[in-house]
Amino acid sequence: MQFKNPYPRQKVSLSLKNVSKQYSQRNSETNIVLENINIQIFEGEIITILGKSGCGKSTLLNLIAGFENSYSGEILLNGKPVKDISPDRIMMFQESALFPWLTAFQNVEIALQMAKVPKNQRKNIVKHNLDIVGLSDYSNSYIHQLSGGMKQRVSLARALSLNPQILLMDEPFAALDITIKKSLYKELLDLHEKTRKTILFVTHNINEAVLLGDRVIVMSPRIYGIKKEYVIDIPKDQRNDNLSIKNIINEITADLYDTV
Amino acid sequence: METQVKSRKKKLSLSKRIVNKIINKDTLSLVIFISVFLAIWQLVYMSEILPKLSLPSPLSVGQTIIELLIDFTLVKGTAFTLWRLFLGFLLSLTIGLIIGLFMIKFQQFGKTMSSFAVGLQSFPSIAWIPFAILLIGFSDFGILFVVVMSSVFSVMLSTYSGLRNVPPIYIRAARNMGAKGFSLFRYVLIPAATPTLIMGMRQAWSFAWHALIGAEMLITTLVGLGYILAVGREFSNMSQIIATMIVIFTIGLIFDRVVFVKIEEKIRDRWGLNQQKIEQ
Repeated sequence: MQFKNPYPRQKVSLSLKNVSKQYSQRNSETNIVLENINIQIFEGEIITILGKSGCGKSTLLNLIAGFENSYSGEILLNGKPVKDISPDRIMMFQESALFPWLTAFQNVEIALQMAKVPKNQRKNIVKHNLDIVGLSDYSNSYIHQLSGGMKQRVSLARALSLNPQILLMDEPFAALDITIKKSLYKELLDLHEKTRKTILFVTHNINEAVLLGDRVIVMSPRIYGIKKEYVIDIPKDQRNDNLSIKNIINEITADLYDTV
Repeated sequence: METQVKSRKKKLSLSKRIVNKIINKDTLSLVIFISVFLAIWQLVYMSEILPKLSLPSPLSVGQTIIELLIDFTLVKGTAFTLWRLFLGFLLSLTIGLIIGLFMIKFQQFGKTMSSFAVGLQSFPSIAWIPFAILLIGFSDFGILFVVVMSSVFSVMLSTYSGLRNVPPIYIRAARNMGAKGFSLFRYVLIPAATPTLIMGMRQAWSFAWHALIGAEMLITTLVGLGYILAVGREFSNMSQIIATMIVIFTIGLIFDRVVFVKIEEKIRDRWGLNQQKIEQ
């Protein structure tokens, strides 16, 4: 497997060493989901994991987030093994997990409350984060009053307000239509430019993976793991309608269909 | 879009808004409905199909209502009945919530208890009365016992199912943000279960109301609307019976419309179960 560090001076944020996961079934057979996964993510990188449904990409994210704890191998965040669920690894889900009984502002605020951020700091953090996702005008709207794209932006503001060390995104834009998706890609990349957050982004959409990722990791259900890794060293603002991007997309498409 | 609607609302003067609130389609149709009902009653009365002693005219029932109001029989009865209702309902809420929480905490207990509670929820409230009389006697506590036994299971079951059916994604997200134990409960589980809890409370309230009137009729304590009904039957005073029935009906309607429907609508609005969304 080819491997190139695009940020040679950067330090490792998350590293997975020989991570395997299997479910035991009732008839005492085991169902392998992941086998010997090795990934290193550097600080400030966006890694996209691409794969069809059933390739274990969501399971991998759940392991990193700490939602599931039984696996073999090692998952290290900044050199320390991850344990349980923690606000330093925030997950963003496909459907917005915002609370319908609260306004946009309160949704972000309650996250800070749960994470035990001191009360006098909360209001400013909420304002700042709603501002950077461009939703300050909608602070007092209830969740149902927001469109799908706006909901995910509130989710993003909520996640960023907790200042996690890594942001885990589980197909956050999959349910949105294409124009809203495109504006959110741009927004995510702008935000990333400002915050330099480490992001692990799981998707089944090849364009999305290639547009957003510094590296694209292709997973295959047949081998329970990583099939190939692509380093994409074209600047992110030049990726639209770029010929070499198109070539990479074609290559990955061929790769993905090969693994059916 | 929202602000436009708000500003338009503000332009109406206060008096106009009050008039609009009172005179609308709903009240108008209610008035027509009641008038038609009274007219049919009057017609049946005048046709003398039923003996005049068994069915008094609407007018004489109205007179009886006024008389009973003036000599404070109805006022006192209503006050006592409402006091018992509040007390019983409050007890049911407290006990039901606590047991409901235990059912969540201890799963096996919850499973067993919920099937018991379903059985007891449909148990006729009137069937508790002989038991209450022998156990407690002819007292307010006997009445309260019947009220609580009739309504507590609705609260218990709605607490249990409301909490059990909180979408797992809310819990996941909250735990991810650092919530556990009490804060998870306080900030996520309870608010998420609120719509179900309110429905259970509404049902419990209506069961408590049914049970209370029955218990007041049979467990004699010399006060309460149920007791006035029983006295009316004792003295074959149909006017008094109908007058009391009207009061009972009105109280039930007011509580359901004014209290529970308002709360439910507010929650539905907030959750967006009534509205369409603002486009981006």
